Amino acid sequence: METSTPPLETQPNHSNTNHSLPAAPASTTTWLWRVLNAPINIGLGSRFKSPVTVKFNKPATIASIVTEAGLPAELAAIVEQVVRATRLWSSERLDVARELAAHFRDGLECGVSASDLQSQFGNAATVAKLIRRARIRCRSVVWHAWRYGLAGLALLLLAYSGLIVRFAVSYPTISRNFLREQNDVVRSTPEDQWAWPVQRAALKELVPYPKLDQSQTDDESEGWWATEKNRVEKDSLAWNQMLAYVESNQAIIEQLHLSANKPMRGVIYGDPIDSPNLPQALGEDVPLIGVLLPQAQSLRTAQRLLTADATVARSRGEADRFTRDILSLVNIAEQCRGFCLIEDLVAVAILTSTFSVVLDTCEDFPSLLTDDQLIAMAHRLASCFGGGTIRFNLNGEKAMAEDMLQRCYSDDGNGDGILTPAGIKMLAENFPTNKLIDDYDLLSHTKTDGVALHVFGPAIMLQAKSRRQTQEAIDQLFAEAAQRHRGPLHSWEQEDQRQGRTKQSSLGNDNSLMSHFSIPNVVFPAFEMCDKAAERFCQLRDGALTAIALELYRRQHGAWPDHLEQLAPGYMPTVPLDRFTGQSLRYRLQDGKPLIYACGFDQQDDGGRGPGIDEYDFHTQVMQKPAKQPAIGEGYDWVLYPRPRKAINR
Amino acid sequence: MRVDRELMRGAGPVAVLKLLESGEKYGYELVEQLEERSKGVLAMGQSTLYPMLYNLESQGLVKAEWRESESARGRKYYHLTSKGKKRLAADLQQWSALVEALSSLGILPGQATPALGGGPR
Repeated sequence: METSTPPLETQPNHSNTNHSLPAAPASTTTWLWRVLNAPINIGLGSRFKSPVTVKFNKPATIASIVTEAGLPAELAAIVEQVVRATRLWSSERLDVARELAAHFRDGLECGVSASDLQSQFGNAATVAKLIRRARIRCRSVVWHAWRYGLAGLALLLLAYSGLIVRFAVSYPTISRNFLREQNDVVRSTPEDQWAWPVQRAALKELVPYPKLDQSQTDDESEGWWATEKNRVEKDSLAWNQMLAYVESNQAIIEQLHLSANKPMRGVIYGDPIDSPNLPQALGEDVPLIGVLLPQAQSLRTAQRLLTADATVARSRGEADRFTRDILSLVNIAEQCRGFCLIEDLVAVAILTSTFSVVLDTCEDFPSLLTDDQLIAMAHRLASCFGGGTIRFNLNGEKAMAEDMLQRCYSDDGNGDGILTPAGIKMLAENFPTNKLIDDYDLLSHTKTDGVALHVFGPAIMLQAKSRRQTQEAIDQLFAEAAQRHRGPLHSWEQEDQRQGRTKQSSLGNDNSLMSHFSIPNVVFPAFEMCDKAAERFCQLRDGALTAIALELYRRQHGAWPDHLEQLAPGYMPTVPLDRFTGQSLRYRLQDGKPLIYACGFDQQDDGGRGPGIDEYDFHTQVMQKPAKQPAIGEGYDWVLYPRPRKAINR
Repeated sequence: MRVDRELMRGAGPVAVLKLLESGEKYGYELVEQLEERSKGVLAMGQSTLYPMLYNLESQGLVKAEWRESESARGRKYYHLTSKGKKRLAADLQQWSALVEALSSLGILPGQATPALGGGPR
């Protein structure tokens, strides 16, 4: 409601818009007062007289209003007391003061005595309170909105302060040492049965593989003889280099054979010898996710050395040496399988390379092994990792998730809790950064102990799932993972449809900010890719077993079979599946030699035409369903035997 | 006789609006007329009147304006707004209904106690 300014003193000779206050007493007149009240003529020259005179008035005060009203002292005191007690805005107080002064003046003019007016007035404090309440109601909607907004903000800040305190005093409770549990299992076995200490000692003596020439990178020289794509031509420079390397490391190779026959792997996780960078003061009290697996990388080196030795052995017709190398490779691969998924993947990589050597040997050195050696090798290859359809062990990943859970969340004793500062730091450190996070620059803040962690932290804590919810999510996802894709690759689509599952889990693909503070998102592997890697391994193994069976058949019958069904059950229990179609592996003779292949993800038999070795990329050519890029993968098959290879002859 | 505060809380605003119906008035004038015309029953001091006027103003029922009086002093005059007129009309209806209801119960003086039903007429 608008309230116009009172004309406390009218100046007859001036404009109506010019309200003025009583003239200031001489003693209060200052130079500023005179300047402010000096008339300003907006002159347009002497011919014109300005119609507008602007005059600034000295600001009124409660005292000046009361003085001007000429109230008796007791009434003036009431006005001043009430008005001051209202604690309203200055303009509002002046308005109330004028009205009360006018009221008393009216009363006096009506003949009421000052004492009667005083007694009728009531309690000044009560009046002030009521007036204040009523005048505040008169304020604008904008002011009320601002007031309630501020009050709301204050409440929010108060609540958030409470959260900050709660967040700051929350600590994770570590009740289970997953690392020690695993290591205790190993420690309960005799040390002389452990393979890893022998392998570690042997490989420590291995000098790096010399470079063929300066153009070679370290990776090229290390993997020169051992990559699946290469066939090192005999008597080439590369061949002689490999030969010299193998011969100079026979003592190490012997130690690897010795270790390969040990029944236990013997890896102590977080062993200071393997992980010198881990904080030793913590002993085994370190997060599972932070434990390094140096043995996995070292065993890849062992695999390359044994593969090279097998390559040299077969070129010299040394069947026993070759067989021993292959069997040691299989044993070392099985030893490599451990608690963590990554160890399984390394084991599969070692075996994949081993199968490649076997397939190449069947093609290039068909008469190297005796029937008994071939049969023994086939049985060993078929039984590795338990045989049949292979799936990776996810127990270690689940333990890793649960270990992270207890290190990130508080524990209320009933299985629930909140994300703690330590938890946010741990998640931020373990999640691979991406553009989104870089843009927020949040992780770099929350990685520190600084103010940012304690300011952003409670908000993250509120948004993040609780301990119980996270545990439930972990249980559910691992239960699903354990159940999914139990059969060959061709059955997955039907299985997914039947169980109403989306093809790819959203885990790992979620780039939202909060996904970076979700344990499942940080810890969970890409199950689909793991299952595909396992399927690739199975298909390659089945191709190698089929190649051995074909060779045995040829030796007995003097010719290749017309179809693979002739191999079962005499040379293998059943004909292996093309895991992409669910039918038998494809087989035909090409230029008098056998060709074994699977159809690949397009499930089309393209007559055994594989991509050239230069374009060969396993995942895009064979394992990826050609949905977005029909050209890739379509029109090709996965040729298992003979393997596509690039000759290395320099 | 003075009216109880709770009753005054309901009756006061209607009384003030009714007084303003006949034309604009300033605070002291309202105090005087309330006392005079209600024979002291609805008399209210400044402690009640001014907060009430401000409340009515905040609801948009009255509007205040500072103007010069005959004695060349500034006074704040209050007048009804159109919203205030509507409210007054509505309040008068309600008060009429209330008076009628109280009369029918014989609460107001000079009214016979009616039969509430079930008894002889």
